[in-house]
Amino acid sequence: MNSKKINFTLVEVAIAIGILALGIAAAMGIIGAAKHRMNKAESQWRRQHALTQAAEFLLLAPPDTMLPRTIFDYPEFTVTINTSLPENLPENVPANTVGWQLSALHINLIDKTGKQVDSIVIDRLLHGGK
Amino acid sequence: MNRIFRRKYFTLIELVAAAAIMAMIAVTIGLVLTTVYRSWRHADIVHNRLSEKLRIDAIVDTAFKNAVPFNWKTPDLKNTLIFIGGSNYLMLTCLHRVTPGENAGIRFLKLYREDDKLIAAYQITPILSWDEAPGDSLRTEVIAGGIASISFLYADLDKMNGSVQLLSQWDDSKDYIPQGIQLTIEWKNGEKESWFRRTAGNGYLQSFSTPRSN
Repeated sequence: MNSKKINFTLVEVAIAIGILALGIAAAMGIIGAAKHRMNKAESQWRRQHALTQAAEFLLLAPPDTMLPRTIFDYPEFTVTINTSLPENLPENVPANTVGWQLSALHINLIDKTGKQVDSIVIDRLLHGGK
Repeated sequence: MNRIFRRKYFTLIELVAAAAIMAMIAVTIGLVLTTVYRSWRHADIVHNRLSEKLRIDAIVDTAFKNAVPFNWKTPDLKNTLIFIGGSNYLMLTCLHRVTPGENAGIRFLKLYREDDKLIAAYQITPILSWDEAPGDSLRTEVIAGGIASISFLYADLDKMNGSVQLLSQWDDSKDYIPQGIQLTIEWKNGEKESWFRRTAGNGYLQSFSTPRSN
């Protein structure tokens, strides 16, 4: 009779429920991690994209031009710009020549808390060297 | 004890308890599966949206950034620029990497919206506005879907002070192409994004083409 029993013991049921719970937890973990990675990738893309928008316009416009809203429409970010002398130029290469000045343009992306979240440095030839 | 195990029926309390346990398990599994499905759906939507944006990135980085002026003769033998900058339609000429199977380093591209899709159509021979039949090599590609509207802006430098003017349409009487082009897409879900890129060889007081007269 024992070999034909069709009922389960409490331990067997508990183990089955445990395995099911582990499977569900693993699935939720995988999906949750995928969701987190996608959100992270999207916010990273957005930061990079905002920075590219700013850089593309600023490299086209004369110095001290403000970013128009039609180009940079990101309420969660602001951009700060400063220039410095370019680094790592060979000694015999001057940073400026008649009518032109080579400058390093620092474009920084700042979030609402004031934290710098991304930045880019581009060497730019400006009109007006000595 | 043997009498209890041999009985073939359940009491009402046992049935109620079993039903309650099964209901709790079913509700728990349902909630978990709903959560898993929603998370997966959200990840899928974000993935599709990001893939579309990366495709648009690729188009603007290859076409806008490599856009060059290109002239062709009209049927009445007048030189005309192969560039049309409309408010929601763009046709341009761009330099293109020569890949195996292709025999041209120049590509002619038009970008437009058809229904709710952003379409890129390109070929290796000029797309002529007066030629109604498309060329044999014309290929079209759906870049993004679910689109409510697209619009373009064209950057032109003021010759006097170098300031950037953003125009909603490019005047076809100009003999040069814009220094920058912006594509703005508004999706049906209300999302909006813009892509601005400088065209090849254009910048403040610089040009790879013929110097412009002031």
